[in-house]
Amino acid sequence: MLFTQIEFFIFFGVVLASLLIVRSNRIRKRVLLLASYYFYAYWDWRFLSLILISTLVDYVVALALARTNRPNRRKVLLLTSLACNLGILGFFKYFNFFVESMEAVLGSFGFHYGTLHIILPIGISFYTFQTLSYTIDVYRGRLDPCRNLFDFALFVAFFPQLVAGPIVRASELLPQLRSEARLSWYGTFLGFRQFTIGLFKKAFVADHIAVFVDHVFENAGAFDGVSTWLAVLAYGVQIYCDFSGYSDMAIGAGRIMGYHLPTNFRSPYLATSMTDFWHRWHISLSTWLRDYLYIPLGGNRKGPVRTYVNIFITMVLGGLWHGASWTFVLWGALHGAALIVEKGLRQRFRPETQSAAVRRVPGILGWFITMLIVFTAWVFFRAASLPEALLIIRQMYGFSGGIAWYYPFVLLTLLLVGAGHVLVSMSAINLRRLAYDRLVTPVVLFSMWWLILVFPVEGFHPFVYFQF
Amino acid sequence: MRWVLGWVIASILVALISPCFLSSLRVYEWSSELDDYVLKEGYVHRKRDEGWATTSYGPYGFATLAGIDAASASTVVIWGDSYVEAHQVSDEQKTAYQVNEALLERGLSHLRAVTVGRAHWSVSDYYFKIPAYERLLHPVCHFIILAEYGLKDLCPDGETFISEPVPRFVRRRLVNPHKSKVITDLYEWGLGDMLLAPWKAVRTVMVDGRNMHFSLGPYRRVDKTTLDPGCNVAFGVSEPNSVVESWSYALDMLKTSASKPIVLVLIPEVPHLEQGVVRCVDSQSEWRARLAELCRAKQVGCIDMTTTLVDDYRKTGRFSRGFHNGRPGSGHLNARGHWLLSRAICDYLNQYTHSLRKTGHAVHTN
Repeated sequence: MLFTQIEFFIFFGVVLASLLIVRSNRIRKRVLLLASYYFYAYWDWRFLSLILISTLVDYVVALALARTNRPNRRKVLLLTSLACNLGILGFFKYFNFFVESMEAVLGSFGFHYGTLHIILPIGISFYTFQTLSYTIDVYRGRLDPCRNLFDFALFVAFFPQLVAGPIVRASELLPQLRSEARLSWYGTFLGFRQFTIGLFKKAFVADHIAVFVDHVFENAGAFDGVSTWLAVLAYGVQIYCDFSGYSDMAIGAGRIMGYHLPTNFRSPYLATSMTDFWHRWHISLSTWLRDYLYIPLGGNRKGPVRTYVNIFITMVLGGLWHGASWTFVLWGALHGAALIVEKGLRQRFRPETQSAAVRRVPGILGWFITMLIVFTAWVFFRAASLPEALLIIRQMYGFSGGIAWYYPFVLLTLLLVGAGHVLVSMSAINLRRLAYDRLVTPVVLFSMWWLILVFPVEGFHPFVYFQF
Repeated sequence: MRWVLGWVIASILVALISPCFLSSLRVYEWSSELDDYVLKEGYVHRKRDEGWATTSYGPYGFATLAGIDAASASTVVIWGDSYVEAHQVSDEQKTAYQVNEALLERGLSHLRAVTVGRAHWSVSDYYFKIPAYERLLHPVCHFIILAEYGLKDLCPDGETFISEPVPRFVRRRLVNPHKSKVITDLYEWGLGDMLLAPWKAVRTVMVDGRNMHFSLGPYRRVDKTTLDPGCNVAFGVSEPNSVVESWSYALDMLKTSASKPIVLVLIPEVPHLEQGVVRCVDSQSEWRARLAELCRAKQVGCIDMTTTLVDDYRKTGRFSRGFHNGRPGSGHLNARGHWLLSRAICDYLNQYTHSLRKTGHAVHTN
């Protein structure tokens, strides 16, 4: 069930009405759990079993961890959870990728393996990371285990963020589940505002842009340099509006029901460095990777070389998390390499040793270089294959000839998004201006709803991040 | 109260702005001479979702610039669906106007072209409408444009052209009189464009509502192509051979309906963009050859524009289909496509009048 489908609005209305009718917090949570399982099973009921396995394993492991202080036993318990969660993820998401990659290497020596017809369970990467973080936090002693199975099951399956994030930590959601969620007019307003903005980003901006982007990428190499650049820039806007739109809707839906989910995006295209970009883009994933991968690998505590290696490994695995394809690995590697170079340059040219004039320049230059890297890397993220990505890169930087196609909606959107970013950077516009008691707020929000309904994109358009 | 006022202001804003970006609703009127609904005289259609153009309509629902001037000339009727209606291009870029200009240039001023086309029309519609239009226009010949992929406008569609057990045409009316009346009234009251946005919004909800389901997945969507395996030429036929039989029936019926010669114009989807390569051949070429052969046998004219379109692309690098707000190389004919089509029709008329003169036939029939 997509947040943009009419079924979701009916489903959400029923859930909300149930929460309003039911006074007991315990029963409300049961209603939410049932609703969450229905939400997931609506796509495919068979894969509900995977969520149940993950839930039960991590619930039991965490309780067992709380009962023992023996390091070896604790390690075995942690490894059990890791093996179970990563085993399921690895099989459903990466099995065919590894088999195909092995065959590419060993095929010439006569080794041939067949791939399996495996359906990727929707949202598996998100809820796996969510349950893993819980068990690791309990193992580290940073979190008490959840003793109520239903609360824990709801933490794993909470429907607003179940299939495409944000990746919520147990320390953020479980305390909210223990206390009584408050449904209020103001909370409903805040949720409605965020949901509407997210819906507009997805249904009006991202889906319209996708028509242009998809055609250029499907026909990589056929369009001229300017059109290809437009498509790449447009894809940057599309994926931002698609993914941050989903996050906004998830946060908004949660807020209406009285739950707070963490912010996932903070104007990422205003980043002036690669580090800054990852502090603004998919924050719940970047902080997860930092806390559960980069720091355990040693972080920056073992010298510069190990720091660089750790950054690179983290980013490559972050890329692979997105999808089982070499294009995602390359996307992660590009980001990793850029972060390493940036870290090296920062150490070489420390800001405190530079004059004020020189310090101001890197802001603009840094933004330009960051965007150049980010948008170039998006090519690998979007392309269906490596040759397709290379064709797009060739057209972009070789300014080769081809078909000229300047889609008016895309041009206008890029212009408006650019202007919007400038205004945000100057603090001229922000969400606080759409306050509850201002007339402009309902005018803007209802205009968005109108535009979504009056200018729909035909066909079925799932969220980009559903495939991860 | 503030939120109600906000909703009202938002609704007015969107209602005012959206007509600039929305195609207008069609306003019809009844024509007793043609025994059908035709686009209202004076109606101006605005097209926005593919191409960006306006079309003005004159008497009998003929596009003004491409309309009739039958008093002084012999008429050539160009039949078709949305490709002939050509809302995507402006009046002076439409086929009929360009044919007339070219006829003047070539000294064939005694001939005038008129387009009679509407979106979703198909072969059975032409069959039922030809007699009435012949009474009105006294044409010298009919051109039927087949530009939809897979020659769909000549094939059984399971609705107006039934193929089994025996082929037959079914009369239909595409215009819903009640809906048409409401739209006409709204435009007469000056509310047509103001209510376009709510109309579209309601339509979006209704379309989404029709596909709604609440059962648990996996949910299988029925893909149209799977309904017609192995043969993408026609829907509703079981054997490829029965496609030719259906064509044979359709051509016979058209010949009985029209008192003047019929010429089919086949516009394939070439050149088209596929996986980064501009392809100048398509999977339908064999079918077009079979149709051309059948036309020869039945003494129906046939123009296959494949070579014209491909040669033009090779010379100019321009596609005959597609718009900046559509997809290059696919979709409806653009200005270039209409220009090429008009040239093909003129070339045919040139030869046709020449051969008529040689055999001593008069070209002027009215």
